[in-house]
Parts: sequence; structure tokens; C-alpha cells
Amino acid sequence: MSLLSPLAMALLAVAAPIVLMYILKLRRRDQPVSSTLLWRRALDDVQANAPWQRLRPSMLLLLQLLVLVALVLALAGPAYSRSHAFSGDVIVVVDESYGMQGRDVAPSRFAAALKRAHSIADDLGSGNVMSVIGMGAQPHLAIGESTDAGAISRAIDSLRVSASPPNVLGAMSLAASLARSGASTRAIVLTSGDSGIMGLPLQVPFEVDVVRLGGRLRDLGITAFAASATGGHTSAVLRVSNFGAHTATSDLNLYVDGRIADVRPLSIAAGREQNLFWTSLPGGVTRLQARLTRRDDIDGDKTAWAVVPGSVGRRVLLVTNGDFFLQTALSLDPSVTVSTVKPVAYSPTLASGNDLVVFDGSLPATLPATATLLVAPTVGRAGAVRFGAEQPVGTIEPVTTSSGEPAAVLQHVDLGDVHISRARTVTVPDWLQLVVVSGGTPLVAVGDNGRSRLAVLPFNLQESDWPLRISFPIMLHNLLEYLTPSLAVGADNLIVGQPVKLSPPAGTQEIRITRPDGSVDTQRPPFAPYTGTERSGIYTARAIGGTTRATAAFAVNFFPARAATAGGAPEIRFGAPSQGSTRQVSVPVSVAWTFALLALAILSLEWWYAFRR
Amino acid sequence: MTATPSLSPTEYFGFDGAFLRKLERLSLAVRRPIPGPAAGPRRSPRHGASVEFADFRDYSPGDDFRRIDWNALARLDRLFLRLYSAEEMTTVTLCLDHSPSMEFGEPAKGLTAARLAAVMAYIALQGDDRVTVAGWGEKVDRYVPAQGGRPSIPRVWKSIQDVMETTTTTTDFAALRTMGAFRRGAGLSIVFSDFLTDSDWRSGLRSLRGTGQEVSVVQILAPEELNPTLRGDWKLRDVESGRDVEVTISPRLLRRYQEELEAHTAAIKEFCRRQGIAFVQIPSSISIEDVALSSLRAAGVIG
Repeated sequence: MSLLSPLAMALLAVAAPIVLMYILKLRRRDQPVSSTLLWRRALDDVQANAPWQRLRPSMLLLLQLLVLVALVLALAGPAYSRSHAFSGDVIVVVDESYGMQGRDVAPSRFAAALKRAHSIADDLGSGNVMSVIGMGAQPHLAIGESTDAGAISRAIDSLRVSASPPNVLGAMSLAASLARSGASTRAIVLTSGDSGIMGLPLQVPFEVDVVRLGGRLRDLGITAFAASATGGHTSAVLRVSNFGAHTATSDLNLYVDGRIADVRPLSIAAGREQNLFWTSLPGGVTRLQARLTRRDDIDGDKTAWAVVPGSVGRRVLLVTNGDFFLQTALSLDPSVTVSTVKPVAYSPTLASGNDLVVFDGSLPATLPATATLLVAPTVGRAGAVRFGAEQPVGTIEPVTTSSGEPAAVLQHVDLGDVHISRARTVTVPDWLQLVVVSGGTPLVAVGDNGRSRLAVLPFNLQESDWPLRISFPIMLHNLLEYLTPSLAVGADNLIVGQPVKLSPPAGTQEIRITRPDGSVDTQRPPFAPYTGTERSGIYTARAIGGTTRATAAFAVNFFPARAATAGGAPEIRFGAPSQGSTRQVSVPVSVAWTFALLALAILSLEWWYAFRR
Repeated sequence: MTATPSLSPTEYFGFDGAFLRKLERLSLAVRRPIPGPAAGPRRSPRHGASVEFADFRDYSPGDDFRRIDWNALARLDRLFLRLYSAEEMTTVTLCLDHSPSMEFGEPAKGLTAARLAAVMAYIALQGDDRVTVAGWGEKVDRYVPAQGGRPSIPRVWKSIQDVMETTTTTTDFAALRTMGAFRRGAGLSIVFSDFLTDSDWRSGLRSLRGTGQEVSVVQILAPEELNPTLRGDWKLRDVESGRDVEVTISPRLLRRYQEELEAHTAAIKEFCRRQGIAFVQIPSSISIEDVALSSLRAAGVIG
């Protein structure tokens, strides 16, 4: 307790005249009277002859002195100090990543972070705003620029720790967008001791205090897990890392389609990792699960899942009189099952049930409803596409203006050593996008008419050296991926929180994603990347209303990055200091009004007491 | 004392002839017969030779034959003696409080007391009673022996004037207990005082009555004692005790003063009623004629 105006205490000297009035008699005019008998009887207070009278206990004097003391204290401004850690606007970034699950700080790093955030909210200065950002894989704003203590508290309590890694850059970018111009702003990042935030190139226009909770975790975790099907067998590779400071031991259980298939004892030194391989697992399996039996500070990285790729195959109908290069290139993809038919034997009914129909050297009267690849078509018309006479081909060059999925057709494809003798002229509709051209003549064009996808190669592979180049099977693989896209494109080695791009077949009305916990998310056009991968496990997606390839499965794992060194100061400050910012301020909270009210109450009591007499 | 020594008693008291003629029709009232030192105009408790029949009693040898009731002897054949009331003069003692407090008032309470005493002395002397003047304060310090007859009026008045022109130090009713040492026998004592004293006035009056005196009390108060006009902060000094009292005279304090005055007067009046003492309270500002002709008669002091 302190006094804002200690000089006001000098007013206590007023007590002296008050007491003096009680002991110093009033100077009165003399009046001789015949007798004071009746006056004495009428008076309550017996007066003495001396100029000073003995100070007798008096309730009125006591009350008056109390009023004086209360008033003087009110003027002196008694106040208690309330410590404010920061002044100005505050942006609190709470790490929601897996590292905050660490229990080396009781009860957990995340609980300690929430407590610290509440403390910061309590110390928020008057007129300043506070924002709270949850820093998981997808940073989100829990509350923005609020002065409502209750709302801020609820926003802090709404944060949840996840199994995802922290997106520090995203969180700080979000924080930078919240900084008010002209206002003193400070960001406080409440993160784990090994979050690695200090190794990131953060450039923010305000000062950042990084509060690192906890030290080095005791953590033995699975950091990689992948599977593949080859030669009728299933292979798998798994990596286990010890992030702790001491050698860690554990058993690793491997489950194949839910049944335990292997148990391996592990002993990994501090900071080291160990790779495990399985090469002779049974074929035809779809899902693998690995589980460490050890319990330590982190639970999320003890289990990992893998989906065996190719378990969902593509069926391709090849309409050809016999092309060695094309047939060989298609068969290189283990997920592709090729069936061949002569052009004369082709009928549209054969197209149904296949994911892709490849016409080599022929042109159907009508394009099938499924995806179609036209190679060396004859003169004629297929839907909106017209094929004319053959022309010599000059320099082959990619179309640089192509973008999106069509551009991916040329991913890792080198056209520098490719030569094509002749190609047929093509009149393409607007929805067909040119990918490779020679002069004005398209050599590779792909497109989606809204019902199905189409790719056109208007030249005879026999009159080109492309099939002899390494780029040909790559380009063909890319075409397969484009024409018969997996529902979950690029869904290999997904980690928690990483978005998944879903590529539904034409005509898909909705995609239903079943999460590991059994809950179902539904997406409708336009199909944005799916971001609900905050839990580790196997997700299954099913397209509703499309033509083909209705299902897909992908594994989402909690693969922690190598932890940063947890040493150093627990609190680190960087960034550009805001003007006028202060670090630790002690704000006096005046309680003068309390003493003013007390003085008023005592004054009322004195009035009542005097009136009662 | 405020009176001018050069004034004659007539000038001092300010009585005119018309007023004195009115007084000649009055007499001092007594509630019971008072035995006197000599024959006079007033009934005596003793049986005497007046014409007023009082009682019968059996004849005893040696009784005066002239008082035998012969008619009773004829009817009852027994000797009864006829008794007649005696008529004797009464000694009236005027007990004048001439303490400093009696100098207060406008006119002064002492002057009013002196004029009332003069009136009563006149009435008594012209009625063949005897008058004694006693001045008292803390003690009986002036005593003028009894004088009778109309020729004594100027001397008695002069004695009253002399008493009131001197002052004692304070009022002590214990002084009345010593009155017996100055005069003997029954009589009528009239006490003039303001009764503003801490002394035991009850004991004083009771002692005075115990000496066979029929007592009348005349309390004289100044107008400012009856209705104080002071307001504000004052240091009141008691002229007798020298004691100061600091007061802040507010309406509330004035109300309490009036209550104390009424209680004090009521206590004196109640005591007098119980002791058979006539009591009258006289403001010093009232005219003597009004007092003599109405207030004193109403109180039973003058008949």
C-alpha cells in the first residue's frame, strides 16, 4: 500500500485544532448574574474556570478525528500496486502444437501456457486491446482486439492442444496483421521449450517475447512410416527418433490390417534415430499400423499409420492394333490394369467399368463418358475436337501459359531431346488446354468438359523418338494422374494438420471424409483442400455422384520434426521494439474513494449521535 | 446598593398619600391565632376578656364568678364557666435577604423587597401590631427590635432602608435558624428572598416555623431571571459565589433553563404548602400597588 499524495498526510495536523477546541474554552463575554444556580442545572457540560479543561473521553471528538483521518487518507490517495507485465496492446500466441503436450511442466505445458495467458489478460492495461492466436498447424484467431476480460478469458479457454506441429510463421504473420498502427504492441508467444521458434526468420514490426515452457522432453517417437506393394509383397519402412537426453528403450508393434505382424525391441541413444524395414509382408494388405509401447512426455508420436499405395487400382481399356511403347508404359504403373481391344471390336459398352479408355490410331464416333486419351487419331471429329491432315512438326516447346492441373502433366518431363516427325492438325474447343505445341500445332492438349477429362496426342508414337526417352513414361504417368486422378492427390506422408487436396471425378456432388474417430466431414463443390486432419490416423474419402474412383484412403501421422535445443533462457525477446512500450509496469490502484465513503459514513454517524443528544 | 443615601424613606419607597390610605384598610393575615406579648387587635389562642365567646368549661374553685353561665345553671343545675377569646398584638418580623443577588433586576429585587416590607410594616403598625426588621444573608447581620404604634412607621421604614442599602456576601438560609436567638415568642415572619441559592432553604424555613412563627414567603425574581434575554456565548459570573459558568445560550438551553426555573419554583411552592406557609412569587418589575392590593391578598399574606 502506498500513497499517491503523501504530502496530504500533513493535513493530519488539523487534528490539533480540533483537539484544542475540546480543551481550549471559547473566549466568551463576561456577564455577572445574580446566580448561576439554574444555568448550571440547565447545562450538561460543567465548565471549569481554567482556560484549559481536562480532555475527557468524548464520542464526538473521536468521531471527528476519525472523519479527519479518513478525509486525509482519501486526499493522500492510498493505493496498492498492481503489477502489469506489459503496457499497450498485447497479442498472445499460444502454441497448440504437440510439443505443448509435454508433462515436464505440471500439469502440462499447455495448461501452464493457458494460465500465463490468463495472467496476461488480467494485467491488460486500460484502453489496450488483447488478441489471442492459437498456433497449431493452422493458426487461428481465438479473439481479436478485445478489451472484454470475460470474452478474452473464454477465448483462452477455447484453445485446444493438438497433435500438429506449430506453424510459427503463420501465427506471427497473423499477429503482424493485428498490430494497430500507432499503438504500442507486444506479442507474447507461449510455446514449448523445443519449438524451434528461435531458428525461424521472423521479421515483425513489434517486440516479441517468447516464453518457452518446459525443457527437453523425454520423447521417443515415430518420425516416418511408409509402405509400398511390389511383386506381390508389401514393404514398409519406419523411422524411430529419440528426442530425449537419455537412451530410450521400447518395443515396436507392427499391425497389418489390424493384426499384429511383428514386434521389435528398440534401444536408441539420445538424439539418434533408427530405421526399420519390412520387405516380406503379405501382399494385398491395405493398412499398416506401428505402435511404440513406451510412455513418456509425448503421447501423439507413439503410433503411426500407413496406407499401402496401389491398393486401389486403375482399370484402363486400350483400343489399339498393337503399340508396344504405349502398352509397356501403361503397364509400368503397378496400379494400372490394362485390357486391350482392337478398334474394330470396340463398342461404347466396353468403355463402362473402366477408369480410362485409350484410343490408339482410331477415333470413336462419340467419346465415352469416362476419361479418354486419344493417341494418333484419324481424321475426323470426336465431339468438339476436330482432327485434320498431318503436318510436319518443328521445334517442340511447352506452353508456358498453362497452369494448374494441366501444367502438372509436364512435371519432371524434359522435352529437349524429343522429336516428332508429323502430327495431325487439331481444332480444340475452349476447354482443352494446350500443353505442348510446335508452332501453332498442338502436340499435347488436356482438358475437362465438366463431365469427363480428355487428353490428346495427335501424333503417331511410331513417328517420334519420345517413347525412347525417359520423359515418356513420366509424361504418361502424369497423364494417368490427370485423367484418372486419385481422390486424395498427393496424400502420401501426410502429417497432422496438413491439408489434403481432394480431386473428385467429374460429376461428384459431395465428398464424405470419415475421420479416425468415426466422425464424418462432408465437402461440396467447389472442393477446397480438406483441412480437418488434426488427428492422426487413417482417413477415408468417398465421392458421391461421380463416375469413377469413388473412394480413397490416406494416413495422417504425427511425425515430429527434430526438436530444437531446449537450452537457453526460458524467455527471449526479439523484434522491433514498439514506441512507448514498457516491460514491467506497476500500476497503482487508488482506493481513495473507499476512505471518502468511510468519512461520509462517520460524518453521518456523528450527525446522528449529536442529533440524538 | 443603588439607593441614594440622601433619600428620605418616603422618597426611597416612593409611596404617595393615596396609596397609604388604601393600605390603611388592609391588615396582615394570619391562619391561626397567635399569642402576643400584650393585648391587641388580633385574636389570641389564649382565652381572654374580649366580647367574642369562645367555649364552656366546668367551674373550678377560684374561677371568676362573673363568668359563670347562670342560664346553664338554671337549666342543667351545674356550674359552667363561659370562656371568651383573648385579643393580643402580634409581632411581625420582616426577614430581608440583602445578599448581592438582590441587587439585580430593573428595578432591583432588593428595592422591591424593601418596598413590600415597608408596605407590610405600615399595615402592621397602623393595626397596632409590632414590627421587627431583620437583615440576613450568610447570617442575620442586622436586627431592629420590635417597634409598635403608628409613630414608629418612619423609624421602621428607615430600618428597612438601612438594611437594604447594605449587602452581605451571600445567601444562606441557615441564617434563619438563628432567628430564635434574636426574638422569643410567637409571631408572624415574612421572608423576602430570591431563593437563588445552593443553601438548604427547606431547613431554614422549617427552623423558622419551628420557633412558633407563622411564616410567609415572598420570592422576588428579576424579569431577566424569569425570561432571560441573553443569546450566544457568555461567561456568567455568580455575584455571590464568584463562580463562572460558560454557556452557549441557544433556544434549546433556554427551554431547559425555563424547565429548571419552573421545577425550582414548584419545589418551593410545594414545600410551603406542606408546611402551611404562604408563598408568593413576585417579579421585581411589578408595581407595588398591584402587589399589595392583589398578589399578596391572593396569596393570603394580606387580608
